[in-house]
Amino acid sequence: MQAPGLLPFTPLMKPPAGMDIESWLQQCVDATRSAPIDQRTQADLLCAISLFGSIVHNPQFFQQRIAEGLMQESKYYQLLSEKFTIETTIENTLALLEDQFQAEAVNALTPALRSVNDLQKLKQLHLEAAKVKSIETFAQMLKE
Amino acid sequence: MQESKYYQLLSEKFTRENTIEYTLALLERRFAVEAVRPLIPALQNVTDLQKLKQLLLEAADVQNIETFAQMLKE
Repeated sequence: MQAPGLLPFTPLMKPPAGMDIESWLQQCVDATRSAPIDQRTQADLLCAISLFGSIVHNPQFFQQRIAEGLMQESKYYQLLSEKFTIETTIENTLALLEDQFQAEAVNALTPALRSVNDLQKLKQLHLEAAKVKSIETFAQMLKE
Repeated sequence: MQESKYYQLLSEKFTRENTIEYTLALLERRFAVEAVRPLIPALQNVTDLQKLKQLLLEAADVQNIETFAQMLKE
C-alpha cells in the first residue's frame, strides 16, 4: 500500500467487475484495517472511510463493521465525541432547568451556559441543575 | 457538515449514550446503586431519543426507583 491516504475514497469507486457492492465495501474496510500504518493513522483512516463512504452508502454499514474502539484514537473522532458530549450536556442541563423554572429565567442563562467549554464543569452543572433550589443559585454556580 | 449522514449518525449515537449516562448519574445520586444497576440493560436498550430525554427529566424528580422502572417499561 503506497498511498494509504487514498483508502477513505475507495468506497466512492466502482467495485471491480463481478463484485457486489457489499463485498467491495467490506474489502475497502479490510484493506484499511490491514494497512501497514500506525494505530492513530489507522483510526483516522477508518473514521474518514466512514465519513466518505456514507456520502453514497448507508452509514450503518460502516458503523456495524468498524468497531468503535478502532476509531477512538482518531483525533477527528475524539473532537466530534467531545463536541457532541458538550452539546448534549448543555441541552440536558437546559431541559432540567426548564422543567423546574420559568422559561424566561432559563433563557437568560442560556448564552452563559453555552459558552462553558470545560466538560467537567458542565457535568457538575448538569447534576446541580437537577436539584438546585433556585435559578439564582444556579446562575451563581455558572459564574464561579 | 450537519447534513452529512455520518455526522448525524455520530451525533445521535453520542447524544443517546450521554443521555443514558446522565440519567444513570442522576438515579445513582438519589437511589442506592444496587437498585439502579438492574435497570441499566433496559435503559441501554431504549433507542428513542425523545423517550430517553423524558426519562432523564423523570430521573431528577421521580419519587422512587420502582416508579422509574415502571416508566422504563412503558
